[in-house]
Amino acid sequence: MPLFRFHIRRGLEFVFDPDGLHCADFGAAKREAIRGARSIFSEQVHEGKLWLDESIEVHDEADELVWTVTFATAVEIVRTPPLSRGQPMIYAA
Amino acid sequence: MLGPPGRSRACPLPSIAACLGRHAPTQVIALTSSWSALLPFLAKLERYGRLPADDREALLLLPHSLRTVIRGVHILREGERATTCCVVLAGYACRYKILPNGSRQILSVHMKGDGVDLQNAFIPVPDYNLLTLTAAEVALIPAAAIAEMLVDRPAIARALCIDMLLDAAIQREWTVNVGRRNARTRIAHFLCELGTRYETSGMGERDRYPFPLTQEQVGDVTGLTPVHVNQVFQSLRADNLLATEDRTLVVRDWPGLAAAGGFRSDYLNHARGNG
Repeated sequence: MPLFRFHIRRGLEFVFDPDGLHCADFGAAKREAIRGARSIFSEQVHEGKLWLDESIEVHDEADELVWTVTFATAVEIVRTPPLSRGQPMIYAA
Repeated sequence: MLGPPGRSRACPLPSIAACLGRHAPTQVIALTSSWSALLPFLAKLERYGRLPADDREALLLLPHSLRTVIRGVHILREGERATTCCVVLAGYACRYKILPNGSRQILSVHMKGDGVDLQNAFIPVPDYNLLTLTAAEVALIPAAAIAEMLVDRPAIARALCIDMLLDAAIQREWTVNVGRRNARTRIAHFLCELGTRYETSGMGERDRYPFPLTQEQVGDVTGLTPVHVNQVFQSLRADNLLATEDRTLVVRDWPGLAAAGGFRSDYLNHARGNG
């Protein structure tokens, strides 16, 4: 299984991944990056401060940048349209 | 105070002559080649109080086979019948469970002197896997011999009981870790625990110890993803709490790391309150 490295970038700060991870293929590496982004993101939610532009950069064995996922794109953000006047409020469980 | 010259306190073993005097020759042949191998196990149990001389000897003379294994070897698999109990003599091993979706939770990490699965003496089918994290040396003791010893020798039974209770205390701390601590605190706590146990087992200093775990494995200990673990390590490094040098963990600021992990060592000590 090929080795991929998952470096983290937050603005000018760069966190190098010294170990890397063996992933079955590029798709698996992408999923790992998304999983990592969501994991860090969820902790930021707990702490109440989100870094939407933080990103995970996936590098292959030759140290080429092969993919980038920003935290903002690692999750789907759904916003319901505002209620119109007179419409009953329904609280979904 | 130093003892009289010529009497070394570093070698509290029964002499070979003593072994020869008390045991059938066939047994001695089997045992002399590795007669001191269980010494780390005895040293650990004697932390909970000194054992009577005959108990110490009985423990050291437990039948066992030695295995030197490379990193990543399963000593035991979940659901398979176990007839031996494993004692780690060198290196690190871990117990883990694996979920149907492939994710893994490391339940405990074991080092020199730890009797990992003494429960096999009574529960023959383990509910976990036992894997080496580094090259390791282990002693496999027949489960029946442990069970017999627990019945025959109350002082050893007491020590093994305390040992298992302390294991349970570590387990409770780990439950708090994955349940209630945030990523940074979890990892800082784990690193403090490992260092403290490393020092207690007499291998070296708590602020400089071999750290063979990969980010993925630390993630499996703490319930985090490898990417997240890397980020936390980086933040601990940036705060000058620790450094990693060639698979060695160097704690630069022990009080700082302990504070970051909310770590207090009392749960590792059977005589609570002594530090």
